[in-house]
Amino acid sequence: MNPSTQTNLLTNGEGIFVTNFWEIASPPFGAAETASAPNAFGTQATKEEDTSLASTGPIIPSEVLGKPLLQLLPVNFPDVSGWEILKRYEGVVIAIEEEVVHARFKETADDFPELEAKIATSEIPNSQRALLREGAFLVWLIGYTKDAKGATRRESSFYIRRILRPSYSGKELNRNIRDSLRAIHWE
Amino acid sequence: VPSTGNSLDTPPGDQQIEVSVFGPGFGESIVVHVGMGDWLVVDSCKSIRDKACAPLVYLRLLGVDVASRVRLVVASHWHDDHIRGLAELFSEAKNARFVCSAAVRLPEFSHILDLAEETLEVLDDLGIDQISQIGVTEITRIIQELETRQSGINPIFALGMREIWRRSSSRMPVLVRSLSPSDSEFRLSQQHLASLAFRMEKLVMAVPTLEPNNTSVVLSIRVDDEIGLLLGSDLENRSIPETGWQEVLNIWNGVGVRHDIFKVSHHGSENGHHEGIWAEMLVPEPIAVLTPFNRLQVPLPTTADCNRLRRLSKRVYLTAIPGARRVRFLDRAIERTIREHTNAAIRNPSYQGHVRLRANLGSHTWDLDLFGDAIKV
Repeated sequence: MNPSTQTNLLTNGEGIFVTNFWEIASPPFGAAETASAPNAFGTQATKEEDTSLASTGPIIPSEVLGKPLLQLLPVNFPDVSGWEILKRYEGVVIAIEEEVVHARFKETADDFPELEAKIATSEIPNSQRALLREGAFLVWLIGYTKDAKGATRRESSFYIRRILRPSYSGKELNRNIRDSLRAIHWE
Repeated sequence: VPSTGNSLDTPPGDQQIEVSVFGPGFGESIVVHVGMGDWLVVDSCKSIRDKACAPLVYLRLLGVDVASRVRLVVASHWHDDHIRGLAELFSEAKNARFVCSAAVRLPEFSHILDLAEETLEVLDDLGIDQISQIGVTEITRIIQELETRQSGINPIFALGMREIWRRSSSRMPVLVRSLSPSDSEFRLSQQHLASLAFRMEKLVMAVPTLEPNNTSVVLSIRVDDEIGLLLGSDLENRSIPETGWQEVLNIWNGVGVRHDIFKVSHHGSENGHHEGIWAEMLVPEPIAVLTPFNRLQVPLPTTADCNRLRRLSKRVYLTAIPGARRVRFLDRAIERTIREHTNAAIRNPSYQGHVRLRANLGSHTWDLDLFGDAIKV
């Protein structure tokens, strides 16, 4: 595929929904508060509504061209390449109180009993707090990082998964459950 | 605590009524034997030990033929502390009728389920299978199961003062009625679901819980006009007319016998309490059973809740200790990090127990067994 074609597809938005879904690029790990932080495309998407990935002209690495957009924005985004990850939890926000987020986390699908934690809102990067809501997907990483001098530090970081709804693209929702419920005779 | 000393796997006699309440600290389930080998199950929870559907494990342990002897499977509402494992139970109970709030028939409800299913599919495609919305997963599986069922055992939707199931045996007649949700709750539920759908349709996906507690199905079970069981689900009071426990009282209006056993509503919370229920729908000094709820800052029931209940009856039992165990890890670095970056972190549920009550028809003397972490309040 011609790189410029791919870039154009992303730029004019027609290619965004080619895989039906994707995670909106978040500011990278450890730099969530900085406005200049680039995402995986070398661009910024700091607002929930900002779906224009290529608005500042993305630099598409040649090795990812032609791959589904999903793979361009990997699951473990933001970048944690400098981390030694000890625990990675996928979670759901179950309640938001004043200054406290209450969330339920799992390490694996059959992780039970589940881990529940109350987290100070200040633990969530400023740029992501607007996304906090009941049901939001909260990722929790615990691990070690090394600073420039090679010293090891324990780290904990939270970020919210920002996943586009496929039907936002105008795609008709698959109404399996509605049709099933209609087919059932209730008394 | 008085106890019969019966082992867990001793089945009830043919003429015995049994009420078993399971509650591991997050979740609850009620299993009822209405005599003559017929069983009803309200809600479901998972056992901590084997991660299995607690009511299903128990019925199998008693040697009950789940496929033929479970007559009703009730989803009181779709909160995930009430329905974990319910689809598995229902798929085994091939002869059971399924009961849930009438809200399930609203187009808004199925729209939300479609949106939530879409969300979970996207996550699954992303390789994230840890995230689940238990309510969505369970009801979707139940709907799929309902589609395969033969006519004649159609599902039933519950509303205030509706007959749900009847056994017209001259030996041991049984009548099960739903006492909620009221018509007003049903209308409010529609508004809530429409608002939820609007929020879910927005750009970024989320999977909030499906329904408020106020669409909870409260059940009254009468056996031979002698024994009454009132299962309060999570129904709460609210200031809107014709809703909550006040509306249950209004429609009850002294019908039938009073209830000997009360599964206390909403984990004993003040908001789930109504003095009128105790005065008009329950016998004096009823047996009250409740399950804890550990998700809030202060676990339910609180000390004040327990004191209130003890004032109303000396026979109040909890399926498990309110509260949960702190998270422990072999890796101290992980444990320290979690402690430093959270206000609190728990394993939920942490405790589990089972309160079992049995009585012979014609006798109002109930035998009590407490298993696991169950305690007398």
